[in-house]
Parts: sequence; structure tokens; C-alpha cells
Amino acid sequence: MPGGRYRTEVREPDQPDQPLTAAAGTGPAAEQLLELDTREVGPAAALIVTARGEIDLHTAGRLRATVADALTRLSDLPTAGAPVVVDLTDVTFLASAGLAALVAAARDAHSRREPLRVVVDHTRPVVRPIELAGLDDVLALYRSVEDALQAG
Amino acid sequence: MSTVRWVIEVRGQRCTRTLSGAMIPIDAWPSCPGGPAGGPDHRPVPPVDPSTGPGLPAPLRLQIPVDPVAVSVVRDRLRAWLAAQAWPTGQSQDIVLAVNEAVSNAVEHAYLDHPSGVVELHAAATVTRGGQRRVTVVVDDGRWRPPPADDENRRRGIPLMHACMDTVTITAATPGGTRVTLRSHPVPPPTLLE
Repeated sequence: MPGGRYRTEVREPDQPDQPLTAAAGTGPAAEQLLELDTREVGPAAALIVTARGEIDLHTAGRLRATVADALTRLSDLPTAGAPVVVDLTDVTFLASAGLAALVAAARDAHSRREPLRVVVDHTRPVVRPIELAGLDDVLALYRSVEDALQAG
Repeated sequence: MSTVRWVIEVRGQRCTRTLSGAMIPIDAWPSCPGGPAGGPDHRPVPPVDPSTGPGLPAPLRLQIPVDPVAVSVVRDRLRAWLAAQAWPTGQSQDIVLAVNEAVSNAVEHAYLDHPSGVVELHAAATVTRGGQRRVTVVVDDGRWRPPPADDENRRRGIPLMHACMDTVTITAATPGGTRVTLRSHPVPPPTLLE
């Protein structure tokens, strides 16, 4: 249900007398937890996938699909050598499911011989899991979209 | 990774299996807090001690449905609970990441077996003898199963838990659940954080 709130019952068993509706939490739908947007920039027609929100078990599949779509679009464009840039600057949480999605996208890009560049700033909840998993050696990481676009 | 052990039963003998797949008799691993429920030597894992000491909030207890969207709700609740006790930001983020991985694994794998089931989480803060604070989080998915041999999320998730926490223990627990116990690194009391 796009745009709606996805109701999830999260009970606190310490308060069994409280009605479930009062104790229940509501979780955002996947579209609200993670916003994804793809746009084309510059004469070289690079594609920028901007992610905003949290990348977890619930949302990683959409990131994976969106980047895969962008790589397909890139293959169809006449200009060669333009990258897909995945901008994670506004991501506030990155879980292992998100790391797996990024690695799968990098593999996909490699097999298509298309450049995939990932932008992360100093946001600790994003940088830390990437570093802990050793993916700073696997992913092409940049500090800004400008840097990623200018890299050759 | 050496502290991650799965307790399984092989021809009536309780064994642990390391992540690499090696089998170790349970007796060779004395720190194992429990075996499969109903086994002759089964010792239930004791519950986390309730929070004690000034400035510590009541334990956080949640029951969540086996549903991927519920994991984000757990993160929100846990963040708020840690913020209410002025947990240092970096340490708090590490705890949230580790718990996210444990709950995600529980939800993902429980879904295959009992999609109407419930995953339980119990988080409590304690004061160490040295006056520092720790958080211990227990995630119990209500049903024991051996770990899948090849699972990418789990393969990445369990090392993240270890990197973010002081200790990580994965056991079979009564009454038949897979229990992950995450113990954070100690942090100073709130008054010393300034």
C-alpha cells in the first residue's frame, strides 16, 4: 500500500494489560523506510541513484533492483564509459543485507563492464559496516557525487 | 569468530559446530550455556539480570512478528532506549547494528518455518564491578534449527555482530529456540561522559 503506514504489532510483554493497539508500534512501508531515485546527469549521461533512509532486510532488495535497472539503462545508452553512481550520503542505517546488495550490484556492474561508484560521506552508521566487512576494498568509494563523476 | 558455536545433536551426543563446519563435542566447550531443550543435561540459559543501579532504565522487552518491516521498529525502540540512558553515540550505533543482524536472521529464518511466529528481544543494562555500564541483548526466535550451510546475510551478519559487541553467543535455548546473546563493550557511567 504505497504511501500508507504499514502496521506492525510490537508487543511489550511487561505490560500485558495494555491494549495491543496502544503498545503497538507502526513500521514504515519499504518505500518510506528507503527512498530511491534515479536521475541522468551531464553530457556523458551518467546515472545517479540516490538513496535516502535505511537499508536493511526489508529494503535492500529494492536498492538491488534499482541499481540493476540503472545498469541496464546505462548499457542501452549510446555514450560509453559513463558510470552508475550510488549516492548513500543520506542513508542513515546500513545492514548486512544492504552490504550484500551493494556487493551483488558491484558484481553485476563488473560483469557488464560498466563502472559502478558508491558515494559515502562520514556518516558512521554507513561507513562502519562497509569497513567492518572489508568492502572498502571491494566497492569503488567516493566522498562526493562530484568526485565520483570526475573519476575516470 | 571462535566464540560462535551452534549446539546440535549428532547420534544422541550433543556437539557444537563451528562456523567452518567442524564438529566439537559439547564437553570440550565448557562455556556453552545450554544444549537442545529436553536433552539429558540441558541447562536453561538464565535470563538477563534486571537493570540495577542509578540511572539505568527498565529492561526493554519486545515481541515482534516474523515480518521484515518489524526489524526497523526494533531499531527505533532500541535507539530510544539507549538514548534515554545517554549511551555514547558510536557504541549505541554498534549495538543497534548488531541487534539488527540478530533480529533480521531470526525473522528471516523463522519465516520459513512458522510465519505466524514471534521473535522475542530482551535488552538490559547492568553496572560492572568497575562502575562501567554494559548492555546485554537476548534475541530468541522461539524455534531451534541448525544454521543453513550457505547463507549470505548470515555470513556477513554474524561477523558484524562480533565486530560491534564484546561477546556474541548463539545457542539452542529452551523451549527449543535459537538464542543469540549480545553483550556490549563497557562504557563509562553517564556522569563521566562529559
